[in-house]
Amino acid sequence: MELAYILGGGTPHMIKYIVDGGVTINAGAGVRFAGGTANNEGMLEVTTTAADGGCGAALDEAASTDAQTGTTVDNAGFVTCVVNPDAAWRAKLSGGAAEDTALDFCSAAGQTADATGAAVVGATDEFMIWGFDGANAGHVRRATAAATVALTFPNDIAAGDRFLESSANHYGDLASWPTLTTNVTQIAAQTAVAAANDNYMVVESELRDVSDSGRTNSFVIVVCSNHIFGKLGAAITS
Amino acid sequence: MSATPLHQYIYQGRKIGKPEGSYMDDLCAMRSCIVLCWRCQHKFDHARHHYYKDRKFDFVRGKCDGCRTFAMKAGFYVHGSFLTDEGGKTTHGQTWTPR
Repeated sequence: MELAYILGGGTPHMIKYIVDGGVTINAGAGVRFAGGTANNEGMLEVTTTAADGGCGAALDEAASTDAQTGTTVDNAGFVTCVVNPDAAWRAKLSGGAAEDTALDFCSAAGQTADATGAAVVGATDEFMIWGFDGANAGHVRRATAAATVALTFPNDIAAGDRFLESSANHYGDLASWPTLTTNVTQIAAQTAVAAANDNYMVVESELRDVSDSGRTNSFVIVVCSNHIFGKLGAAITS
Repeated sequence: MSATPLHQYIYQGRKIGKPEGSYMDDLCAMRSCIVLCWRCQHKFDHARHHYYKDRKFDFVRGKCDGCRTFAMKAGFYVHGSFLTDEGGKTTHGQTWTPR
């Protein structure tokens, strides 16, 4: 993830925070103050499904070690954070748990012809579906049931057309909190989401088609929906 | 969390007695992001250290890593290895690695 903009306008406010002992934080990884480890003494990475006590994402990388590392080297690492609760982060969509995995098509074999524009073979319920090639390339809809979009695509779906899909969106019943990739720097966009991840919520999407390498070049912009400074007064429980 | 004052968990900047330049060298070696106030920016040769100045935002707020004063209109420097913006400054030919 990288800083995209501040929702309310204004200037990013940056602070370097200490990293929890024994923890390594990667650049672009989601970070949080508490919640992952009881009695933690510094910043932690978020998990793939939880970002309570969050603080957006790290701008650089850092690590801490519990033991002293010498007289000239500080064993505590410091990670640079943007503390604005309404900071928006641009996260790449990955097709798997590993970073930079190409997105899979709804149907690897391509679609069957459909003159209604409503039937997308292989589309997952509540996912965003967008045309990769064919007449509907660049058009996006949200699936309301498996293989179905109620708000139909504007053009007929021809045999062999291909569509991409992503779990990350902000429509429907808000059950579409994204799951992050293993290193928590991107979004595992084709992993079925839990209803209560409550980690990052999508602000807008950059969904690309075949003309712009959409399988490996699609992004969403998210805000940390469980930001520690965005829920002022909430108790830190760990 | 323990009862330790929160400021102890926030980076206080360079240690007492450590010259600014030495401290900046440490930051560069760790590829940390660097925030500099307008007074200190011209003293930092960011290109030499393979940093680029982030121009996505005109200014950032934060404590200057040079003089340790809080700056409302500070410059923000990112190490080239963290380049994530396809249109970012690639003055040293770094490879763009999307995240």
